[in-house]
Amino acid sequence: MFFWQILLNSLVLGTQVLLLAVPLYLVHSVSRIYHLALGASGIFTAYALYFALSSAWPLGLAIIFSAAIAIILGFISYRLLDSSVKKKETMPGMLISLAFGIILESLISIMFGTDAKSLTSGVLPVISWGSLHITVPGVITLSAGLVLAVLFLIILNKTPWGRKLASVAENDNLAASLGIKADSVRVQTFMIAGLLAGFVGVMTTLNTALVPGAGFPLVILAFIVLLTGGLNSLKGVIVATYVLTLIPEFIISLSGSTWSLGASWKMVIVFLLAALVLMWRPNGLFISQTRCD
Amino acid sequence: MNKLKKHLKIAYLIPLFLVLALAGCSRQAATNNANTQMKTIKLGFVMPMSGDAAAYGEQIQRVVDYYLPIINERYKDKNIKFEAVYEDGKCTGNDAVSAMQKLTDIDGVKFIVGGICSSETLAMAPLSKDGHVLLLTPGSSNIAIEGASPYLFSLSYRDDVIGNKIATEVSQYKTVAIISEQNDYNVGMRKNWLAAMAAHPDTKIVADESFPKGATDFRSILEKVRKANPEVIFLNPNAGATAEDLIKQLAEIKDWNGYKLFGQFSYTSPEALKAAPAKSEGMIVVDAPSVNNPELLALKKDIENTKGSLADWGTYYTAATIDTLNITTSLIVELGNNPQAVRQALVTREFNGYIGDNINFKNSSFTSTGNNVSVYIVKNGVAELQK
Repeated sequence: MFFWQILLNSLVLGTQVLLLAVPLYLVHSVSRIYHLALGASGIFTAYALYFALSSAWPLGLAIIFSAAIAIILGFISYRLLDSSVKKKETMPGMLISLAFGIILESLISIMFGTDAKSLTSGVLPVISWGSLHITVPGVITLSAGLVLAVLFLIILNKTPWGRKLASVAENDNLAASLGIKADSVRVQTFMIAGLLAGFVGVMTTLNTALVPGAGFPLVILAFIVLLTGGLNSLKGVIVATYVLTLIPEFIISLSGSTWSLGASWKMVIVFLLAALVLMWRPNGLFISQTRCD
Repeated sequence: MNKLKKHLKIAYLIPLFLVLALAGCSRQAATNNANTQMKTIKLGFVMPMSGDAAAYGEQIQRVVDYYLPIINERYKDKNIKFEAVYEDGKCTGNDAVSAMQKLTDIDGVKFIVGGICSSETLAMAPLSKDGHVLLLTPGSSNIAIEGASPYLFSLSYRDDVIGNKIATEVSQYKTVAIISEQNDYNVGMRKNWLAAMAAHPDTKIVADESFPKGATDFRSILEKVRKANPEVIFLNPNAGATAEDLIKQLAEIKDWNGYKLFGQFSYTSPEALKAAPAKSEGMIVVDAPSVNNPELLALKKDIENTKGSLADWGTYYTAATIDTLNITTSLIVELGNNPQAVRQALVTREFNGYIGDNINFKNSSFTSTGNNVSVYIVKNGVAELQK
């Protein structure tokens, strides 16, 4: 039973990373930029929800407000990175994104303080099956992760919007010559990414605690997952997410009392695994051929 | 034409310089006049005013805001006025050092009350070794403070005293687990407790888990401890949100019961106990003794009525804060704003205070009064002193 409980806990953690890795993947596809501000953007959205709920707004209005904030942050990100995208300056773009994330985190600290807050009071509601148990936010995270992973695989591979995104990702000039509005696809992608990051921000902090820096470790994991999975393979990202989150959790949890590894070893194992994978396959686990610009 | 412009410029500038010079002189004169009337001495305070442990900083500030005017009234006849300068140590070494440097280099402070978290105090200690500033902490307890600097003194209880007591308390059980946060206070507490447990070989430590500072998800760690099936779990996180989250996530595991919970200072806070009231009920908490001096209790009540709650800081540490203020200011008034002279007095004299009589630092960086600890049991969300 211990094994299954650890698997369940690890799946929730892995899905939180996946839900951030997917928007990171989408933005990278259309812009070639690692949008590291997505972590802070998600936590900013969670704080927006916290603000609305602590101001006694109705739940529906609070959710709409935080979703609007997430979309606005997506749009601001697009505007900030637009110039770098068009000039194909990926490194300055990543730095601009990182700076935006740090600004968002600082704004949160200034507005709400650095002490941890909680979106709910008391112990979280739990669903149990025998000895197995999972929190309700954990269930929502797992379900959303499953649904969204399948949904995005379908959208990207089977819908006209997915084909537009793929063509912009491959060659935006060529896509433009075929009548596809690359800017329009990009702005939509950034806003969807903002919304997804907001969702994962809310779910992660609902399951634990709301602290200004909560987005950074998550986005770093998502970034590692993106590199390890393969930059142009959503399937690779999904597989890499669970490889890089489940294996460290199991190593730590199953380590014995004599050679017990503490939770501080988790990131060591993650980076070690990522390094090993990238040494073996420098372009990621599931890289596929793309046309050069 | 150009010459005329130049002359005009000079003509404008001369009166301007005259006005500025006169203003400067008059201000200097006013300041000199004020200085002859009242000498202001700045006392620095380094404590967590943001972050998880911010509640402690806020509550210490309440004590100081209330008590410093009383001290100033006391020394009014000597024309000495103390002024508090607060800086945020954020419960981390780096921030505490920045705060200390700002206080000493910019504000000219020679005495600092703090840090409060051991991480703050231990990081500041080396910078005080040359004696340009003297540190007195009412709350840092890590035994590494002992001898860390000749200019550092603590009125807190030592972690080894608390660790020994917890070890004695859990020694009546056969198996025990400890969950610790990785920061100076909790690492020190764990180390002292493990050392003390060596004297109780019949009690087996079946799990010794730790998590990094800032962690918020403890579910896998708790499952690992559950697998070890201990009779006792000693929760050793830092104060504030981490302590609350840890016990909340423990309470999520509804079918795991039958163990006894132990805690330290972090679980004297009503907020931490409120996080999962059913789980914390009956928890045994070992901490500094409750101070029952009626004068202190009246003072504490008045501070709470006028400035706000001191629930987290408790009676012992409130008493230690007031004693720190009394001892420091009385020595400054007597010996001047001179850290070396005050240090000499601290290591040779004895002082009376609310935490006890005969407070002295003759053989230790810690107060001589910190040898007894108290055991509290959580009842109805409050850590009650056990008779």
